[in-house]
Amino acid sequence: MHSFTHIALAGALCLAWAGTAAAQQAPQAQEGAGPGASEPLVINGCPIWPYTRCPGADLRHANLVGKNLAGADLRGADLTRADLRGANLSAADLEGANLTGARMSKASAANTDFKNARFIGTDLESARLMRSDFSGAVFDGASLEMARLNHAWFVGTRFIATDLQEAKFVATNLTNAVFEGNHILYTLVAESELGGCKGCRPDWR
Amino acid sequence: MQTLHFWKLLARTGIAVAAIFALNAQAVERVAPQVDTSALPAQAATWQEPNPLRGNAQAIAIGQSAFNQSCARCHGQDANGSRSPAPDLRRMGRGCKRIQDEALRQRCQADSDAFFIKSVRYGKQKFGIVHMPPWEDVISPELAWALRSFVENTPAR
Repeated sequence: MHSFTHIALAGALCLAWAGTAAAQQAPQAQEGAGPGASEPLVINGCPIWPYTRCPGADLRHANLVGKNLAGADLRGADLTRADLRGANLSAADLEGANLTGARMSKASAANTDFKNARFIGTDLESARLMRSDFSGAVFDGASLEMARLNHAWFVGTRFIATDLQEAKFVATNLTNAVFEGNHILYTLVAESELGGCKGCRPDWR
Repeated sequence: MQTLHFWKLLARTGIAVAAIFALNAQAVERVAPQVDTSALPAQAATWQEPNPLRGNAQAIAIGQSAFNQSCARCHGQDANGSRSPAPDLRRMGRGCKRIQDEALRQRCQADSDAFFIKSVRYGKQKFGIVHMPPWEDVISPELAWALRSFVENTPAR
């Protein structure tokens, strides 16, 4: 019984040590570049913090889950296959950014500039996109399922083979927008400007 | 009876529309703050970040006075934006202070400063709606930096 207690104690100590070591290593692995635990993530010279200025940054495949990039200048940035789930992009500037294959479900991007951005196969499920500007953007094979798009602008925006189920286009500007081959089920389009829109359903007017 | 009801409704609608227009006119009105900035260093007369007046006690006092004269209407008295229509500015760039690497910390603060000063200079306009008017021709760069110094030194409770 006595030796059993010693073995059990030794085992517990080993587990505790392993746990502490793992806990000490984990923050560094997550935080990235800096030596200290509080140092911010820096990817290809672009620091990940609110208001960061990284126009044209290479952020392909970047893990940006839950990161705060509010007010960031990411004009023309390449965010191909970046993971932005739950990230905050409110009031950021992503004009001309490439978001091909990016994961943006539940992201907050209210009042964000997405003019001429590319959303090819992008997952925007349940994203908050109110008052954002998507003019000239391309949604090709993307998912906007249950996305909130109230008061957003889509002047000349293309929606091709995109999932628009339960997407909320309330009080939006869809002037000269193009809809083709999309999945439209319980999509809410109300009080919106539809002048010159191609593929807009008659019951949206 | 129905005609009377119609005129009453029309009058109420008219009052409501007039009130909305009055509020909108108030929202974009710019009040130039009456403060003496002569004590501020001359090198602060630039729009270039980082904030040249960071931590300057005199600038913080001047910034507080100017803020309460011109900005408090939307951003809250003494920058307490917790119950204000416009964003609470006190946390803007606060996370930068925790960064240990000096070069990174300065870059982080400069990024926040740039966003702040751009918002002050050019205002906030979206889809033709003016949410905040531009202040570039109303306040000087040194006063804008004094405002920034005050805001970032005000604790967010």
